Amino acid sequence: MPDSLQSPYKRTLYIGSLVVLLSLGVRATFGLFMQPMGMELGWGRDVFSLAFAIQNLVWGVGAIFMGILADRVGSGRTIAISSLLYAVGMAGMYFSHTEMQLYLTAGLIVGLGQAGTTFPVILPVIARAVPAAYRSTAMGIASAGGSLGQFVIVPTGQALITGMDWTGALWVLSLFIAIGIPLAAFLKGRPNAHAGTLSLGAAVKQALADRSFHLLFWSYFVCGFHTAFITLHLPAYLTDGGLNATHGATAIALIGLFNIFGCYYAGKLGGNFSKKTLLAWVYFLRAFGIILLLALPLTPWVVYIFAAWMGLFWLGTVPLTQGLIGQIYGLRFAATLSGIAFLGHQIGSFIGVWWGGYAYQTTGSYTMVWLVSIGLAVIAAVLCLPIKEKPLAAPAAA
Amino acid sequence: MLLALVLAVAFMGHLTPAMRVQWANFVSLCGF
Repeated sequence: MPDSLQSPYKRTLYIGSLVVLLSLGVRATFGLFMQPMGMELGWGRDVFSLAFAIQNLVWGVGAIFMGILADRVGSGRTIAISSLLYAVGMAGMYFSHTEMQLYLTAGLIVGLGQAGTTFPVILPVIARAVPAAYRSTAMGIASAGGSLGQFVIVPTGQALITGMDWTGALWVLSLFIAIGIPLAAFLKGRPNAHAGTLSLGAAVKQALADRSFHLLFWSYFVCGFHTAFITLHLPAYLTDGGLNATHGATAIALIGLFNIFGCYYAGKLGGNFSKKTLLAWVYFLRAFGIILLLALPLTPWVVYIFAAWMGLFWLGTVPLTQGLIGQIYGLRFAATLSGIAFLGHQIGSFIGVWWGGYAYQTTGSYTMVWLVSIGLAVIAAVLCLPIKEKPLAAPAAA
Repeated sequence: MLLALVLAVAFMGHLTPAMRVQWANFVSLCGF
């Protein structure tokens, strides 16, 4: 066994990162199934869009419940159940012959599985396992693991679909997810070691009464708005600007590649500098990137630079936001609180996707949405600054 | 070194003809 896996906290870190890598990586491949599944079963983009909208919503709401489950019955069991749900949901896609069955499997069941195998549940396990001085870097590594999965598993998924058709690819990818079931045994975490005097309800109440939590929630909302709007609407924006599929594919590959480094360094820097200041910079620099895209002529190189720039500041918000939650409110109920904050992210995603399309339909361009994205980035940066980073003292017992 | 190799292969994977055809579907549904 390698030395790194003999150290208990490194083992938790790497195994937790692997679970996120597989979960987010497989999730990112779903768009690849739209064409082959749609052609065989006669479903259009609308059917898949609704299935994945349900998945995103269930992921957001489910993250709260999976967080509570992790904080109450243990993260190991939660991750095992979620991995099982995720794998069953994916296998269920194979047996889906009606639209409703697709909504149930790819939407509801997979969404629930994702809720327990991604950042809100995994990062608190890692945060509890590693030494405090290494915590932020560890969260950066785990977040980068998720980004690495998105980047690496997507072309793997495409190769599987090309080589063995979509049904075989679906089985192989569901097996990737099933790996999380035995791995969950290594991710039991130690929530009791961080036990305080607060109950779960009191901890949630305390966070909801604290202004900093609301600031984190709404800044995360902006993160979701940006990433969802850009990913969903970038193809149409580039096509409208006269660019072709090669430019689009290169831009997306660059976002994915730079996202890995952005996550890692956000976490690493968060260990040495103020997390709220770094978070404010991430949002501010996103605004700068969008301004550049709008100000410069839409050439391939401008798009590549924009993609690399946005990639650097893409999911770097995750280790910083979740790091702040653990730092301010403690690690005992970090999964629940992270789940609540993540709901803000998913609501932002939903609005970014919906309003992006609506604005395009009504105005015939994305200019308004880009301008709002800049405004929201600046607002999010400003929202981060008043966050009080010091650990919140538990309220005195009545 | 291994990571650099994996990243390079994955980057090339994103630019294969099959992915170029699929890229809009990929990002439209749960891409990054």
